[in-house]
Amino acid sequence: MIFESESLVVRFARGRPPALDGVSMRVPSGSLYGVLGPNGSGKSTLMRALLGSVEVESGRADVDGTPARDWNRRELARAVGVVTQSEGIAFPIRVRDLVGMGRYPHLGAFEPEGAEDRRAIEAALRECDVEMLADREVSTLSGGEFQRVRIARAMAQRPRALVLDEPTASLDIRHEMAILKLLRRSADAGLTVLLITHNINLAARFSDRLLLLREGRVAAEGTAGEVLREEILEAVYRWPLAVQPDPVTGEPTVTPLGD
Amino acid sequence: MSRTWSRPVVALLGLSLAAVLVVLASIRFGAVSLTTSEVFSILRGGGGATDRFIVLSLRLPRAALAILVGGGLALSGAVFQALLRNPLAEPYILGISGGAAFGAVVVLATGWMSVSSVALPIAAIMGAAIAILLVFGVAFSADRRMDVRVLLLAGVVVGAFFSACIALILSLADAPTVRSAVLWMMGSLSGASWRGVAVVATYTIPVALLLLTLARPLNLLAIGEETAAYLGTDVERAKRLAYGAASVIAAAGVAFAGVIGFVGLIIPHGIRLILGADHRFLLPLSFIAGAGFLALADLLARTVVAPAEIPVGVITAFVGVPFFLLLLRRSLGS
Amino acid sequence: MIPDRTEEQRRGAGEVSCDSPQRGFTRTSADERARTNTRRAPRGLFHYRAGRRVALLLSVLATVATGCSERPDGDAGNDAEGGGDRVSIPVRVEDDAGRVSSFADSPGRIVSLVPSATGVLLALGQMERIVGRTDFDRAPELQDLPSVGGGLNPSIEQLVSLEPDLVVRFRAESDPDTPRQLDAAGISHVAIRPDRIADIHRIIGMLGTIVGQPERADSIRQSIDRGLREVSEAVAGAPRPSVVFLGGNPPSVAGAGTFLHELIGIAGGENAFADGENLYALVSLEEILDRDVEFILTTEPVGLPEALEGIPTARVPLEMLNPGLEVVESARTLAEIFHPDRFP
Repeated sequence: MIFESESLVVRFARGRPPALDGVSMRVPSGSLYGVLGPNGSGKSTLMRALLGSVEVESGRADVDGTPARDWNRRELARAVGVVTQSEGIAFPIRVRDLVGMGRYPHLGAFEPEGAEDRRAIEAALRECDVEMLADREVSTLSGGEFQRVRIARAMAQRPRALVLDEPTASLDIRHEMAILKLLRRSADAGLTVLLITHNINLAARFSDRLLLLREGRVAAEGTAGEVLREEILEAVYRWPLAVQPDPVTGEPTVTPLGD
Repeated sequence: MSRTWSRPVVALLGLSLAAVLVVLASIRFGAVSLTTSEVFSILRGGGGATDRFIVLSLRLPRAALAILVGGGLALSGAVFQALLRNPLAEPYILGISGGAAFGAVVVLATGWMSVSSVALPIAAIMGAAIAILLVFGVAFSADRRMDVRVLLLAGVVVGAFFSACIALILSLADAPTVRSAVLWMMGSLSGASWRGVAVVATYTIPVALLLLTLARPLNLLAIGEETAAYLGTDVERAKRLAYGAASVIAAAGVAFAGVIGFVGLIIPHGIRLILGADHRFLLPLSFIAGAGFLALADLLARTVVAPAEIPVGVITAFVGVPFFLLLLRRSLGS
Repeated sequence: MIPDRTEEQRRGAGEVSCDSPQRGFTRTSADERARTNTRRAPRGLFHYRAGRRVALLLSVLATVATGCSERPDGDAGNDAEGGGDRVSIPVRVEDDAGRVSSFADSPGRIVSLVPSATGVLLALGQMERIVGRTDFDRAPELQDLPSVGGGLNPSIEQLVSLEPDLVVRFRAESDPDTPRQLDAAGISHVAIRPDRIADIHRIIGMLGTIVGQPERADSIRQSIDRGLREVSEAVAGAPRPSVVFLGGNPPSVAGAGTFLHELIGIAGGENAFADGENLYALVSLEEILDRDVEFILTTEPVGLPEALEGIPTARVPLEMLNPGLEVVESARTLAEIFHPDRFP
């Protein structure tokens, strides 16, 4: 699947500055694409525009060449798994049932889950390391466990693309790395992965390409080496920092400096 | 899989059986004592004219109305709780009871009652419709989307406004009108007639079936609108359908049985505590349990102090609340 | 409109109207019951001078009897001549809901859902026909009858099972179910609404017509008129105190449309809120004080607002709000409160 935008402008209210102001970008099929930027720079809005859930003022936001707003929601849901920033569950629900909701786009109104659906659910539970939580109430999970369960739900959709908004924000190192490796593996297996994150270093390490947004505009776009440059990042984040090759991995690594 | 299916199926069968037994009991027992064999012979076409009237024209329509209204209220409550993402929601929370009661009280106070026996239900339905449209209009005007938080606020405020209108009318009305209005607002099935049953059924049954098709969208709405949309639900359509359908059911019930509390709150919660929040089971089981529960409450309402009757809403609270608290305690313990 | 009556009923009527007044009360079981009823029914209703009350009621009964004996059965109307069976003329009555009912035969089984109407039926000597009661009927002779629950929301099931030919019900616009269900069951019903003294007259007349006792109904009506006239004559010329009726909580006052307003007038008082448009209206305490009220009547067992302390207050029974056969007694009770000097 390909996500693509061109001169994309999104504005939430008339008279206010646009949330996205002429963003052009392209997520190639089968790649892991990292989106970076300070708070309020338009990362989540770009994600919503590419998923067709906000209105486009001008420009394009396409999925596989079709404007995202024109996609049938069910078909889009079969193709793209989404993990939003947060979600509040109103009623007690078991982990397995929540992950099972990933199969809804594939099922008719009264159609029960079939063998295929069960296989997808079990595989997703395993991949996200939440099998042992399957019978727990979601409300009893820790923040990190809940996040993995939500990613498992997206995986259970058996999508062709994954879109994740800060999925590892509340995870410990072990689970953050496990998720990022899972996303990397998925991309290598042909899934298109769009990852919004604040963790510049890990994004640089796992992504094929990076997009850096600042106040709704593209500040930089390209490989980790092209985007992770001191002058660009300092201007975007307005904080002094240093970029050096990591002594272990050799990847460019950002270190915020004191004042 | 068998695990997730079998418990609801057992519950479905058990609750259906219990509901059938309650309905049979409510035909069998009443202020007038008839033996089981007398009742059976009446159902087969025998019996004296008076006894036949009691069973066929009083007890049967009353049981049928209890099924439709009780089932409808529980179903409607389950839907409102999911839609508003609020476990305290019940069918009347969005001003429907206020609107319906306002319509009813206007008819009671003006004496339009004597024009036709359906004047009151019609006025109650119109009042409910005004409340529904008002609330919907307010919640929907903001950027062509329905914001459930606004919906909840608008509903509570519209309900309060109608309550004030009712208080104004009743403060100027005479004592019998006040008494009737208060009795009506406490809910009763004593006015059951086959015509009323037919009207309520016409509204309740097709709309209830429509709501059953919304089970999965409601599951998704309960975890959040944005996620629901990304899992393939047309969120706006689902919300509008759910709101409209649940409102119609609540309005039809309130028009013919008055304001009966607790059924729409307690039954869905009870089912949720036992079986979880999957609306594919929650919705049909709520209907069945609500139907049986209200039939039982009405049976008690008209036999406990027979021949006098207790408002059925009092019984639903007396029976429902301790049962619910017990269930709540048990679920916390496990 | 004079109904023809069955043989049995005519006999019942004849015994009262034609036998000697002294013996008339003791002759038949029906009359025995009627007398017991009128003596005992209002027990507990009034706590003023119980002895006088009994005397008053007996005098009403005596008047009934005297009235009848003064006007023998034969002169009563066009059913006078001849003693044999007559062709049944259907009795037609228009009830307080404007509904016209006709009865080919006088109804043999009656349930009254309105206690004051039940009292009228008993006074008309119709105990034999009454087959059910409400939980609010206090007359001892009714207590063995099956109850149908409340009068405003009776158990229709129980009511139907009594197989009445006639149900006397309260006319409440707000209760469409009772008449609809009675219609469905094919049971005749008449609606009454005793709001004013004129209503009592009409109801007595209507029930008298239905049960075939028009003369007896007339006698009762005349005795009520006479009783009320006696009360107003007793207080005639006395200064009329300004009176307010306060009921409920928060207290509401009785306006010009109420039965109490009429009673206060007859008993030689002036309703301080005769200008009230509503039957009962909430008014401010300031307004009550401003009107220089001399008497407060209330049904409340507990104290009135402090601001009203110092104004003479009389507690009247709740039943005084609803007109019935006790209207003369009620008027006299009030008159004694307002003008104790006129009742030595």
